[in-house]
Amino acid sequence: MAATAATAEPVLVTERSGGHLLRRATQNKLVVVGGVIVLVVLIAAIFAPVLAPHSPYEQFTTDQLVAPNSTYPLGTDELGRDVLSRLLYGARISIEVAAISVSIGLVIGGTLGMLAAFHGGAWDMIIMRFADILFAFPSLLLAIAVLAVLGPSLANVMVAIGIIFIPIFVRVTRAAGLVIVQEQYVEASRASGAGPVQIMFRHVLPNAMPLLLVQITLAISYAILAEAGLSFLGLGAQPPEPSWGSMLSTGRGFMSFAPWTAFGPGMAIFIAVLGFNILGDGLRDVLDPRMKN
Amino acid sequence: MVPVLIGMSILVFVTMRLIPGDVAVVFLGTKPTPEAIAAFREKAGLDQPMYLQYFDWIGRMLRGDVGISLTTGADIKTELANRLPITAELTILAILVAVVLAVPLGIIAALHHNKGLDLGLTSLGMIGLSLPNFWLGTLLAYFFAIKVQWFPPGGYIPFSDNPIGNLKSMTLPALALGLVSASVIMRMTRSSMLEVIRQDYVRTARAKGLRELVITRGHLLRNALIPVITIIGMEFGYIFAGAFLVEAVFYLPGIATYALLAVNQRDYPVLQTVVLLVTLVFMLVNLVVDVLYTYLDPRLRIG
Repeated sequence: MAATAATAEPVLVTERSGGHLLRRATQNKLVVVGGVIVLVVLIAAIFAPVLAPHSPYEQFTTDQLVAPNSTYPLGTDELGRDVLSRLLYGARISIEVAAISVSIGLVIGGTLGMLAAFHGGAWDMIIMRFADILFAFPSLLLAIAVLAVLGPSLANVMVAIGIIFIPIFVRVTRAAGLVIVQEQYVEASRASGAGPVQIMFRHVLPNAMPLLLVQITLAISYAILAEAGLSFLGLGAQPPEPSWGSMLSTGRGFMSFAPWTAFGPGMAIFIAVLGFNILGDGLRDVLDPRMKN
Repeated sequence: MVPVLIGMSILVFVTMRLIPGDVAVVFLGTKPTPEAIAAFREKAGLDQPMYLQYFDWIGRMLRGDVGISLTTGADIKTELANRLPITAELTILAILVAVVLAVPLGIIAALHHNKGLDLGLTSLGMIGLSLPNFWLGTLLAYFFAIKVQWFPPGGYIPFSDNPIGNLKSMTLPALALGLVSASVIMRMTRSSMLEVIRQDYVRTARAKGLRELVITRGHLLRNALIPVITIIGMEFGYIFAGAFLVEAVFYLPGIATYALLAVNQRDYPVLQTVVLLVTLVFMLVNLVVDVLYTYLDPRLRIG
């Protein structure tokens, strides 16, 4: 959750050899288990059109709320749509929202964080106060307020969740930047005429990458959770879009006699979030030597 | 904290003014005359410059005058007074569930580090951390309200009407909200305990022959629980915000339900009051935690 993402402080990994890290990562059980789950979700998202037995929108009007059988492996919903096909397409929505919202947070937050670390002084103060203010809001409430302004839709959910991530990435990149800027090789590079942009991309970013990778993984897990939650409240995906959150919200109404309509999407959200959480934990063990327990 | 508070209130105010749709049109119905709109705008102070509206709003907020709902015309303060106790009860019960479960389990996990019990508990924690509260709530309602009818599937019974009924109606929501936080707090308790276990003073205590129970109580817990308190404080805020989903799952008429209604009806006075109130509580809890932290950890005290 955002709480865990926010509390981590960066530690520099001096090890720059990618091969070594990769070997250590594949030896970590959490990375492997989480990685496999994440891979399954990604495959579902990418190959949904190939894997889905039916269209996610097609209504088989004679087959409403049919229990799982060979034609409909996970049953059908109240409009006679195949639940499995909708879940597979739902993975697309989740991954898309996660990818775009994390990118928004990373690009804006990362840029602001580096500006704060590099320029210090007034820049640093203004950017950090701004991050503090955004951080003062409980994250879900901030997203709801943003959606009240922008109106409910999936595109707006991406923006709303992206805004939640801005202060997190500001803090992570600033903290990493502050440490790296004082390194001698950065000074040397500056002395030999490298500009701030060059230093940022050549030195700060690669060095902050391991820690950012952990934050990105945890942020994706939070984004999937938040999208599902906001769609559950009716503020995200609109019908007939097959978002897991809105499917769960509708399915709940038929829970007493057709529980598969809620179980499918509920389990899908849980498994996707679990996968990214386990992967994030594993990556932290591998990349952040201080957090090893 | 004060600059953040001011910045936050400006952000809330400006954000709410950005909500599309003319408030006057919302309030006056579908086809209001231009004169009626002008009269309404003047009455509501909407014809004033933005910064004057802000100062006017903050001034009234500080005096406790939060205004009326645009859609129902009801006094927001009265509405909040009716709804806040429900959300507060839910939050407090949830944090109780979380702490009572998480702290002992975290300690047990740490004391059995890397053994079967530790592995089981950490796996359980990971599962809990990944369970969305609205899905957990749905599951709890399915098993304990539909399959076996031990608890009601939703709705709220006031404590003054029926204390037992009230607790029954709050049990499942509090569990749904509390169990996720329990996972976070348990993980923190465990790792904090593990950190302290490695300290020299614990080894010294053991070397001088103290019994394990005394070491656990006197040395481990007293030091390990300090960071746990910070996490509990942070979780308090997250639980308060998580109530938005859990109130929806269990049809509880708390302030989260009120805010969601306001979002759908573009009732911005209600929404800005609730956002400000919840954020204020969130910040106050964090402040209390900071103060408590300095009190508990003498190293942080100055002078």
